[in-house]
Amino acid sequence: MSDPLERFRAVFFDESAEAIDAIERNLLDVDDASTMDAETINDIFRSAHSLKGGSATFGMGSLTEFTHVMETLLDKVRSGQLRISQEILDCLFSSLDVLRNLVAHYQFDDAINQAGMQRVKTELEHLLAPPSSGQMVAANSPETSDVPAGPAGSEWLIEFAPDPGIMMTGNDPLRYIDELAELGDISVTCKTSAIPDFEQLDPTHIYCLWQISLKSENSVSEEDLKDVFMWIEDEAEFQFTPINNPEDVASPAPVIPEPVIPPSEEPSPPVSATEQELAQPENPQPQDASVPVKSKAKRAAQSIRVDLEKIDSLINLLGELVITQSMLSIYGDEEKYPQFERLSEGLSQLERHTRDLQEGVMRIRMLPIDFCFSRFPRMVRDLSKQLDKSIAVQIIGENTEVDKTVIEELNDPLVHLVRNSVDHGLEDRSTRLAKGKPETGTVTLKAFHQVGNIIIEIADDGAGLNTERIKAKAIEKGVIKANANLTEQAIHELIFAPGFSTAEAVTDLSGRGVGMDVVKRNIRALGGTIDVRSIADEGTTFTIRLPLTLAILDGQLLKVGQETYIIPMLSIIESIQLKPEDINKVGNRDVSFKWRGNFIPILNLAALFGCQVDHQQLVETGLVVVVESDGKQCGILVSELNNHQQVVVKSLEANYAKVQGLSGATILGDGSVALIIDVGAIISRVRMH
Amino acid sequence: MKKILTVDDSASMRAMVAFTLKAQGFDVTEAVNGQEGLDKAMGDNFDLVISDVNMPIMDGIQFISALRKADNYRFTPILMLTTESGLEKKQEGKAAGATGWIVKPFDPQKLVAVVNKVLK
Amino acid sequence: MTAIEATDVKELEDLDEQDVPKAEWLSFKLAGLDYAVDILRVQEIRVWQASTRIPYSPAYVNGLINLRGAIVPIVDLRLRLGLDYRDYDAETVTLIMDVVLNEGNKTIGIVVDAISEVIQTDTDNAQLSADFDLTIDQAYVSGIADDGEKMVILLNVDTLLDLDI
Repeated sequence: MSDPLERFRAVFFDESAEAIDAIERNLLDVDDASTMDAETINDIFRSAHSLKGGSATFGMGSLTEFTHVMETLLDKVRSGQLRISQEILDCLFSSLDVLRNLVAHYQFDDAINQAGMQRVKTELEHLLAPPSSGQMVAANSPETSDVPAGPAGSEWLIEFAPDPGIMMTGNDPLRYIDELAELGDISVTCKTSAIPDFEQLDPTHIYCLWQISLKSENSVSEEDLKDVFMWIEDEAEFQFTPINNPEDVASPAPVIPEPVIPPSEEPSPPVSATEQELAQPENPQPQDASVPVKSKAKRAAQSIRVDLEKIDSLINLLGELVITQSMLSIYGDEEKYPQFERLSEGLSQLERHTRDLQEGVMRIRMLPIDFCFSRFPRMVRDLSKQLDKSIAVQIIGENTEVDKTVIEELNDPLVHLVRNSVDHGLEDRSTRLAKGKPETGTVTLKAFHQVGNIIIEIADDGAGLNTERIKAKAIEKGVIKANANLTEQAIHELIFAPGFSTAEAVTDLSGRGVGMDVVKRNIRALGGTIDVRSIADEGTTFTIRLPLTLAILDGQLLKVGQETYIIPMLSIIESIQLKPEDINKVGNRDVSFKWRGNFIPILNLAALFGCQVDHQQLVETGLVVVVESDGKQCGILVSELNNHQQVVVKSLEANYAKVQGLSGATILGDGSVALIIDVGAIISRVRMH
Repeated sequence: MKKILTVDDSASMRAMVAFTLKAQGFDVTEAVNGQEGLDKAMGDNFDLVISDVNMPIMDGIQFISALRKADNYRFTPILMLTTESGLEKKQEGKAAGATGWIVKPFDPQKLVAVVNKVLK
Repeated sequence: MTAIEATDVKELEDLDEQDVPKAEWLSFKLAGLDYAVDILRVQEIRVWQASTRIPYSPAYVNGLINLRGAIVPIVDLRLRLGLDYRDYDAETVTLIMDVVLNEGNKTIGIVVDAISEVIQTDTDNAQLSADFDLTIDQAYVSGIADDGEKMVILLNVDTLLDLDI
């Protein structure tokens, strides 16, 4: 200890032990991710920060690297860019073990648990990655070159040689270079060899040409580059050369000694740490340097990050393509244009491809709810082990597609509801057997689309809500008056009341979750509702109903008069062509027609919605869309059938009001608004008549 | 404060441009045609000029080429407001010395973005 | 000129209340009269664009437009105020307004004949509207401003656009 640095090292080890303890204390105090206050996060951040600073001073590279990732995550939480969630808490807990191990490594020469550290680090990075854009990478790059960068984007070499007189139109070449910089990182070389001698120099002329190399995380097309220079395309010479990123070629996925995790699965929760470590020994540890390459390769296979705006503009463009395609499709009518047989073949192929393309692009925004559901079997298994219960997970409708934003927001509420079912809902083995129920309880997660909504159910076959206990608790907490006379359902709904928590003793499991009132608030923030249905000893079902605000619907575009409406494809059985005499009249009204052997009613949409249309012409056109809802069919007279396409459903209530017979609106490829028909609602009107 | 001159014969279009840009902290002067625009431009020093193309008395093309000839407007950005179909006008305008164009009808936010870019 | 003098006198009287902030209002024409709305509520001014008719909507609801991906209803202000309908022309504009309602904030457009100017007024200047017979619903009016020579009716955006649908 003669070396003064050595003395400071000793102090640092004391400090770091304190800092780690402080982080742990703070984490343990947080029993509810959603109520974690800024002060606590700041404290944790400070501790991580001082660990990082100290370890960097003493050259403890691994500790610096690890705390840096932690600190980056905490900073995002602190600044509100990331919402604190259960996963983040869990991951911070697992970080503690890594920190202790690393400190022990530097202090006592203990071996670093590389696998454990890498797993937690990857998890931290994973939590960090989704909402951040290039910003995080930029912030990291100076000190931690081994933090994996995002997937490779585009690289271009641009030569930009403006005409000497370009400034005479008020254009400044540097402005365009600035604009290029918005597409990615640029480095600029200015060639000045053309600058003449001073006597010949005209100060209003530009004699330079620029070579700009552009490197972007996102993909940048030549069109994007041309767009930047659109105003001066005739006032300068350009050359755009794409550059192959050597990294792309040189970094095929290395052989990974660890078991490959299926792409959809979340990083393993902390409970599994021991399992993974046990599985390790027979494989040689990957060296430090190879590790980031591995995680990069893995992440690249899972996803690339694309600006949502880019997808939306792609969707709009495709909308236009679809319209063009449908304009062309009239020439595909072989009866009318027999001479165009080959053309018509091509057109029908074009139609198919356009539709597939559009579907594919729309899907980019959508993710199967499996992204959210898939974590639960693992979570429930771990929880049931801890609680010594036997629980099976059943997942139905995992392919139901939901907008990305919804999935992100749904995560926390679902985690809480599932924890709740496992912890409070399902009984232990002996209780179940005593009740004559199967020993294994079941948690069912189910998702499906229902006209106008996405429904998600979380059900268990457990004990059901304890009505008496809830009532007693609500009275105790002052949520209701002691003499309140409530139905059983009303009592069940009290669990959503602010300040109400059903757990009698805060168990280890639900202790750190969010309250039911927070779940309800989160769902409501998405414009949805949550209901509970519970029957004693049969179980509890939570039903989350989310509006289609963000959802996408496969719709048939049609015209009534000049107005465009959309009918969900799901409601359409077929479209048929009738002759006027096929339509049965009562007096002046068209009432029904015969379809597949039965008479089904005609629905006069034009009259129902007050569309301006020549009714006689509508009957002569005889175009009928047969729709169905709740087992009832009817035929809708339309003037014109257009293409069908997937549309993004928007709510009418956001700025207007609910409209009878409509489930929402959408924006078409040309930017106009089209209304979406709620077939169930209009059919029920027909029945009333 | 950057000074912008907007020249348009439609009062609404003028009001829209002026309202949008004033809200961003620009000093906006309005003129109803090329002639008035030219008069106002000469008596002042604008950082940016936004002009409609089709106007009575003096149209946008004449206005731009006249303005470009003035000493203090040799390098000033001048933007045209054109309709999508007016491709020929765009080229005429560019030949007259326009810096670039904004397609009508435009989104107010887009206008602000373009103006900020040009004045950066 | 007399009107300007009157304003000057007014300002002299108000000297000891100089810290009263003046509100800015965006005035516009509607059937020959001048109206104005609180400028802080104006999101943007747009040229009139075709909208999609909504079934069962009141006559004053012109339809829906796409405002950068949001579905926004457009109200014909003439009809909303019970004035005569007029065809739209090159001067017709749509003001996109922020409306504060019990059920939350909404974005609603109003169609007016033409934009006039930005005027300044304060509570003293805004006389009580009950003194005038305005032929429009008093609930929509928050005051009358004296803008030089003409009178400007100040509209209350939140009651005006609390659409009874």
